[in-house]
Amino acid sequence: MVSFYSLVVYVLSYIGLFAVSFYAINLLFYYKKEKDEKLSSDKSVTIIIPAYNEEAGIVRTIKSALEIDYPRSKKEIIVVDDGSKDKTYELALRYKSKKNNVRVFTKKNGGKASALNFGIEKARGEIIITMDADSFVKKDSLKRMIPFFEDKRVMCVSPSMAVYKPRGLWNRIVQIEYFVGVFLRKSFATINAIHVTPGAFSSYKKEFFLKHEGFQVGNITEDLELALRIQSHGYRIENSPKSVAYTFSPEKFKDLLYQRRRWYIGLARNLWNYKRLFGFKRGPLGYLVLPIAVVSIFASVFLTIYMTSKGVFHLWNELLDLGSVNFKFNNYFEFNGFLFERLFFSLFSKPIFLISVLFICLLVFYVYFAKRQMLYEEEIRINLVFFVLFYALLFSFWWVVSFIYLIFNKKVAWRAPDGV
Amino acid sequence: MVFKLKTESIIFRFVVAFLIATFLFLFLFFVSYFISYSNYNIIKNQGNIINISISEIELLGNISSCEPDVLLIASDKLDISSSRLRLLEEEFGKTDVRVLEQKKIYSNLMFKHFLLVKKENLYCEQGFATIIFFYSNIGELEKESERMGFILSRFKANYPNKVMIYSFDYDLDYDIINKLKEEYSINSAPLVLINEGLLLYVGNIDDLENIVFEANKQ
Repeated sequence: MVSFYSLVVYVLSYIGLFAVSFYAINLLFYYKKEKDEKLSSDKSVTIIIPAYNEEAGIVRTIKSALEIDYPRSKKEIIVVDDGSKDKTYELALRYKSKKNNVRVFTKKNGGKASALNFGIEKARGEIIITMDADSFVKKDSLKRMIPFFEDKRVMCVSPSMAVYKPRGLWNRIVQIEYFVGVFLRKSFATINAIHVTPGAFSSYKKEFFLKHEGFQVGNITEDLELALRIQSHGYRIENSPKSVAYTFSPEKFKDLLYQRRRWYIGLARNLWNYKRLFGFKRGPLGYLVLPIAVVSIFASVFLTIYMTSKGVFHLWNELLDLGSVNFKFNNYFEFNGFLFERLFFSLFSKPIFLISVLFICLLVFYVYFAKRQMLYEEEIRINLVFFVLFYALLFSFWWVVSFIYLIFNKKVAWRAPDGV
Repeated sequence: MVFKLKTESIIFRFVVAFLIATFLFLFLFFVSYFISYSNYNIIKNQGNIINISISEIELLGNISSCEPDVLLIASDKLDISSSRLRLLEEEFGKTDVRVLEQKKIYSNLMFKHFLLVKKENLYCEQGFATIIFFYSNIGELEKESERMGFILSRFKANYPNKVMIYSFDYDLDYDIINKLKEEYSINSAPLVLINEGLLLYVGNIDDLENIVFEANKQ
């Protein structure tokens, strides 16, 4: 008889299969490719770079903004130093230029949202682009985003995110996670269900800020809040996968944990604040994408803990079993045939194992699809292996930590004590 | 101004996604069952391997050789058959007719091996310790049996050339098992019969070690 837990696992797997099938259908048959191929520069734009203690990356980011292929007369760059304690402001000032439309401001520290709002107030462009001070973009990214704004309902266009030259295990895993994000955002765009817009290079119509206020000061994931606000007002968020923004992901486990804790707690709080987005009134976002996003969090934590413990238990039993037939890895070569036979039948006779293999195949498809869209050329196979092996465990761990912080209502700042 | 998708388009996508997901889900269940069934067929057709073992054992019974290696090789083959049987139990369940059918063949084989070891101990003074393990798959007894099986597996791994362990399903209605139960007055499970004399509930590997080798000295 099937146990209760097995039943839950299979129900969740079925929901997962339904969701990934739906997202793949959206992308393969409903995404209008020609939109993404069009280039335009008919709107004036302002790139806002908020910076706090970013002396290490600010010059590269300003240079990247300057190099973006867009008519100089229609492109303005505003650097807002948010009361940095290092040389961020001094370094940025070197690039202040009337010729290049670069303006540099400094203000009292008030957080990223306040710096962005400060920049929006000063901005002269119709389109506002937020650019993190530790990121840079492909030169044609902006021209690819602008055509999407021809649709009056579109208030935001999100880019593709990529980890720049991933180093170490954690970077490599995050790189694949970003590829999956590229695929999903593109799929969500076909049903107007994008609910997360990266802070690194998202673009917004300025009129939205004038009508519905700027970034929410004090919110630890202000970009996420803004995306949900745009959705709550019934506008569209588009996606331009070929507009690629490169960012640096934390290399240390502790730093990555701080980042994820902030993101996940921010996601949970903002979803709670925008719970009105759930339901049939808001279309697929409300009755499918957001509920599945929430279910997938709990499901991932449950499935990871359940499957890992069961897997370890199963492995232990297998070793015992092999022990009972006196199997020794070094000596009994004639037993290897039996080992493979047993391993094959033991794994492939279990539906959940086959479903997991299918999910891995879909993941590979998602990732390579995204990679092709982004014209990414570097080799990622080993990173995919790391992702398959460790991501579920990491994701669950990050969420368990975030749940603990949420339950005990612990305060989470935008920046960790050491500045992550 | 609220963005709305055409309802027909969404319903169509849902229907297609539902069909794909359902097809994949059922297909994978079918594939897993097919693989389990293939495993059963292999084991069934391995009547060959089992038959070879039986004939080997019977042949050994007819010759007066005191060479222990042949017995140990046969014992290894039995262990592999037992491992395959456990996999079959996992796939189809412990009460499945196909599993029970294979279990009877396996029990028969073990019994023959047991008789041979007895004979070798008597005429060739091989000194093999024999342990007959009666286990049960019913209710709480299953877990107790698994725990005892775990200790016995460990014990066998420690003394692969000195100890012969034979596991029989206490609840299986089969002549050989009924005969053993009657002959050695086995009324419950899990229980082990050491060297055909001592009945024991094994709770600890050290106790088992002391008892088995003490009993063997006597």
